[in-house]
Amino acid sequence: MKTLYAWTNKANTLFWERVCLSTSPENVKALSAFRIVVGIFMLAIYVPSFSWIAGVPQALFTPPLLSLANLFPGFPGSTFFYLLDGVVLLSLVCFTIGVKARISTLVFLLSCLVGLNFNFSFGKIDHSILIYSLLLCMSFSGWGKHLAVLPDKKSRFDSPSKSLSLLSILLCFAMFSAGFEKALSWVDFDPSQNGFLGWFNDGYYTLDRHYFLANYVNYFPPLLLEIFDYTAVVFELSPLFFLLHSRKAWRLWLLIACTFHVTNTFLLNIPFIANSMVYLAFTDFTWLYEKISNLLNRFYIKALATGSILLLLFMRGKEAFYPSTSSVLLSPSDKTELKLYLGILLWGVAIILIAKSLFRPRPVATISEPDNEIAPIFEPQF
Amino acid sequence: MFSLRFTLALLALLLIPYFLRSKYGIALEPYPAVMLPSGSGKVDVAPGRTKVKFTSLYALNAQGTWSKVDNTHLLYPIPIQYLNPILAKEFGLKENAGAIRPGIQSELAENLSMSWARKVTEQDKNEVKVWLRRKLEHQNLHGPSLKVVQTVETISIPDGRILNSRVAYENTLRLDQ
Repeated sequence: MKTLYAWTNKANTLFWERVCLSTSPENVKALSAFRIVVGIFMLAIYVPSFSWIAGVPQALFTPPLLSLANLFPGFPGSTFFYLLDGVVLLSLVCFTIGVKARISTLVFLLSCLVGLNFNFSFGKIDHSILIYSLLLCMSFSGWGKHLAVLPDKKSRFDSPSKSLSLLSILLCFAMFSAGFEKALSWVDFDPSQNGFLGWFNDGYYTLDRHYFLANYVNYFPPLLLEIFDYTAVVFELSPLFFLLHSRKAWRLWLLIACTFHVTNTFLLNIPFIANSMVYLAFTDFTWLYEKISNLLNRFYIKALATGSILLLLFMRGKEAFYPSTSSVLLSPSDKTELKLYLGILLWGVAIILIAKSLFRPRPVATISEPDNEIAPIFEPQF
Repeated sequence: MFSLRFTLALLALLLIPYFLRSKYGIALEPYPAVMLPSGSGKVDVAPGRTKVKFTSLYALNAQGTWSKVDNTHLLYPIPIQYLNPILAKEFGLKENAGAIRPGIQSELAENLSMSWARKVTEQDKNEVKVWLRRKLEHQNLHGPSLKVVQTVETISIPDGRILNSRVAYENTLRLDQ
């Protein structure tokens, strides 16, 4: 029994060491720049708002069976959602500018999860969980220690290597959860049945997803459609192998993932833009850290940055508290085409950044400050 | 690094929701859980054709003829991806709508859905009817009725021609009663 425990324990250590080698950040300070990127992404493009739910008829309330919302008799009133939106926006701004980023990220995450339970009470769960997994993992990465108005203090809970290792495993499992059932059903060597076309038909005929190359999918021969099925299965079941192989292989898989999402945007009109932030967590933002550090020394840049964040906050607040088509400018739910173009742009940027980190020679520390934290990490940090 | 205890707890946290979804269907998928959509269903593409089933909405226009409703604008601000589950319960106006959930593939999910069904009251029904009428007016569609039509089309692969179209289900919702 003792031998079995020792063996399992050793296997566990070896596993996490291997994961850590593939995912450890090259520069811990760069994670603070990444925090700002994620914050601005959420503020400008992705932050959910919930006040509109209060105006929806109660007859549409059918929460999933295993959801917090199931404890409620119906959609809560507008005060609840206004408060929730207020907390969401304030905590988001706090973690973006670095006001106690660890706690504000966790508050943001928790309030979003509460709101999303009601958001999914129309009968369907959206699978945006990876961006929230990213926030959970990164809140313990120490990303609030630099480029921050009120920096986080050193904590024994902070570990950049552990955070990114855990995130990579969550990403691998999420992919597995999508790929395993597909593998059982789609790998059938029978071109008369197709899984990709099932996804396409659903979006094209029911949700009016007719943009970009979607109209051409009907012209695809069955053999090509069959290849799509197998490609999706291999892609979704393979990340753990890439992760355990090497750092380079992991980045290669991330690059393939971005290409996969671009293809989906063009053919299925499903952009899945939030995943771009999850993949970008594994790239090095040292260059951005340096740029932001230099820029923030200038007063007018600081004023401009503050003004932009305040403007975004104002626009988000307006959307949340006065939901109407005319006030929704940042992420209108009825402007599908705009969202798709945005998706293409974001995936393009992600491809460039991940390709750069893949093809670049092993990096060296580029920040000249004598600070232990900026030394590149290639060994697991326990 | 992470202890064995942490790894086992993580595995349980990941695998239990996954087990529930795969064994009992998406109706028993918990939220939050680290999962992506499987969408492992398939459609028939042989021989050189495929069948698609979709639901459309129609309302009367100013000329008194049935006109197709723009679903995105009808639902706004509800995101369009929730259209199918909403149509499945016909905006809560279908009988026993509170128990209609997508992905009920097991007895357990069915029983739970029935016993945890929310009662849609007459007041709820009136509220949704007023809401729908107002939404239709924004599209210059009037009248007391909204027609839900489920169509099955046979489409030629690869040229996309519609070979056959038949109505599988049709129901007219009265929005004035």
